[in-house]
Amino acid sequence: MDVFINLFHGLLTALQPYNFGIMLVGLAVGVIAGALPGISFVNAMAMALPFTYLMTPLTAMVFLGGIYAGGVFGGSISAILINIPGTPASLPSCWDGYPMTKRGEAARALTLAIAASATGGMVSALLLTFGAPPFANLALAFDQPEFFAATFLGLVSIIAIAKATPWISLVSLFGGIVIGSVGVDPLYGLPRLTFGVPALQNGINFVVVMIGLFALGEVLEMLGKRSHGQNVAHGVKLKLPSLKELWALKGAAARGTGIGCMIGMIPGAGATVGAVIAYGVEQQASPRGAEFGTGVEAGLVAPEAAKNATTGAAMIPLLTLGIPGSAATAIMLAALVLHGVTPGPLLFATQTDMVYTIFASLLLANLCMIGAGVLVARGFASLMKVPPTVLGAFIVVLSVVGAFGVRNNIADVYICLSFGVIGYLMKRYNFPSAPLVLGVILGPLAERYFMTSLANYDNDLTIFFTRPISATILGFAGLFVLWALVPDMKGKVIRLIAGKSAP
Amino acid sequence: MSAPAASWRPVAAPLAFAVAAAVLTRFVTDRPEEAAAMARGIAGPTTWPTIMLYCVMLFALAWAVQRVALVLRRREQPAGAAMPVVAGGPRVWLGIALVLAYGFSLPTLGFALATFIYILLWLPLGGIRAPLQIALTSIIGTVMFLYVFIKLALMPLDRGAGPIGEFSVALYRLLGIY
Repeated sequence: MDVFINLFHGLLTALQPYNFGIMLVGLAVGVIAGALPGISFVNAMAMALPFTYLMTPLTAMVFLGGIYAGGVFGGSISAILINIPGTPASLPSCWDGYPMTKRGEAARALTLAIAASATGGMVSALLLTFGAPPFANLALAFDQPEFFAATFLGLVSIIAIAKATPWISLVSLFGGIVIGSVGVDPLYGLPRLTFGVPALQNGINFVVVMIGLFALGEVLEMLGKRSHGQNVAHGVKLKLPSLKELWALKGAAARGTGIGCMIGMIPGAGATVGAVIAYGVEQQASPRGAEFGTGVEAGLVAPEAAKNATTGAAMIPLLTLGIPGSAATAIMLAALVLHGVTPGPLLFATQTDMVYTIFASLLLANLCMIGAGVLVARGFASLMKVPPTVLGAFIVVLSVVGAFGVRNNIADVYICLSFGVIGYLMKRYNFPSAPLVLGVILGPLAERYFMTSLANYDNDLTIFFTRPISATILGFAGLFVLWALVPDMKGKVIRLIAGKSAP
Repeated sequence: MSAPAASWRPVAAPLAFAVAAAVLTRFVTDRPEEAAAMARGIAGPTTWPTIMLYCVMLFALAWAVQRVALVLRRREQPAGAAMPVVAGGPRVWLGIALVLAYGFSLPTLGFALATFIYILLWLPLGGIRAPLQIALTSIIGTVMFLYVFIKLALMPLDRGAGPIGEFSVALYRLLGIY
């Protein structure tokens, strides 16, 4: 009962005009920053941090929470409309969202994404409100082997996504992991796969690869088709999906939200892992799994719900244990520390009002995100009225600036352009690019957790299987592979037997 | 295409990946002695990329075996998997050259001039023929990008080398960006 009373008080405080206004500003900043490729919402949060000096700790958290919730969704706008994921977590939104846009269903894709993201975010905020303390204990049980196992689960989900071409996809995935390991080794400080090129010592940033492969590859393909007329998404009018439509996708949204909440609580796993796993699981669970990648609504809704469901869940270890699980929550921790607030179990006892106001504003942020998302998406959708040739020219400039903006380094532009050409060739020869990008994103994380696990546990490889949580997650990964592959293998065996027995 | 050429083509790509990965395992670091000295048991700076390269090799070989099996069974047309599925042609290669030239000319020409020239050349390549539309789109587009990224986002984009740098600064002053 106390929780309800505290939440009610929190809502009243969050709805005070100043706090509510600040939250809306944060939300708008987050959605716009997330939607612009190369200017991630994490950068926006980092840039907003100095402004929080002028605010109370509560207002600072409300502001940053707004950017966080809005930014995680914002990345999907550009992913759906122009096939450029604004944030890494929006990668799965390209797979079914962009085909919907190509089919002329941009408005439908965007509204479904907004509704799913808001649902995932609100459920996650409720989980944060009611389940923070017990779930915090679970998060505390996680160490490097568990983080590795969770990242491994994210990598394994590619099996479900690419089971039609498993070997090529695995080559692509491991190729991506190799690309992710280019540069100075984070543990030992030794350059790897740099071939004496100084620019490669900083490593190859995944955002740069992502922009190159998806955006430039797409533009070059567009040029090949030479359609300089109106774009497919001309005249996008956004309206919220009907309740009947949403109800039909309740399973996808529920699975995505559940996965997002679970993954979000694991420090270090984050929205990208959550969204990719949700996509893989949904592909298995959906009756239209075989059609995924062609613009299936469930393939868009599940990862959308999952990535926003990680936002509230990621704040559980932050607020209860002071463990930031991602760059975004690390900035929030910095904001708390700057204001002299120490996160941890005592925070709930000593600053109850503040904690529940943060919970309430996260709930409100996800609710208001529907409005903010519609407004920003409408602005972006007007881009779709531009002829593809002009849009292509602007996307190239945007990609170049986005790649440069990642580290203010011209070498990143060259790498991005190189990957643009590679992306086009991959499209041309039907080589899957999604596993490669996933490898570049998750590879460095997996390496860090793998190597620190070995360093912390005397080079004992069995540690991944002897620790209960790690073993359980790896067991899930194994089951996931079986779940994805067995029906296909069974089908092949049956066809083979039928073929042999036929006269 | 001759039949022998068609028969090796399906396995060329996977074998190229396998060979490239095998070669790269020898060049993971240019300081192998230091890497060996840093290693503790199986864990060392080259452990992870080397394992991943072996995985690339392994799966590329599996991919090659699958291709060979398909050729032998003649169930499908395996060459089709490697056939282009996306429109190509000289215009795309010109587009690639233009995009690369744009990126690589940024330090010399500066963001403003390089972007203007790039848009000016890209639009006719994409099939737009109206000179007024090309000129207006190039000018308005460039000015819009300058305002958004240099004035608002304060990004330190290249101004260009020598006199072009001075031209960029003069242009920024004219536009009220500086």
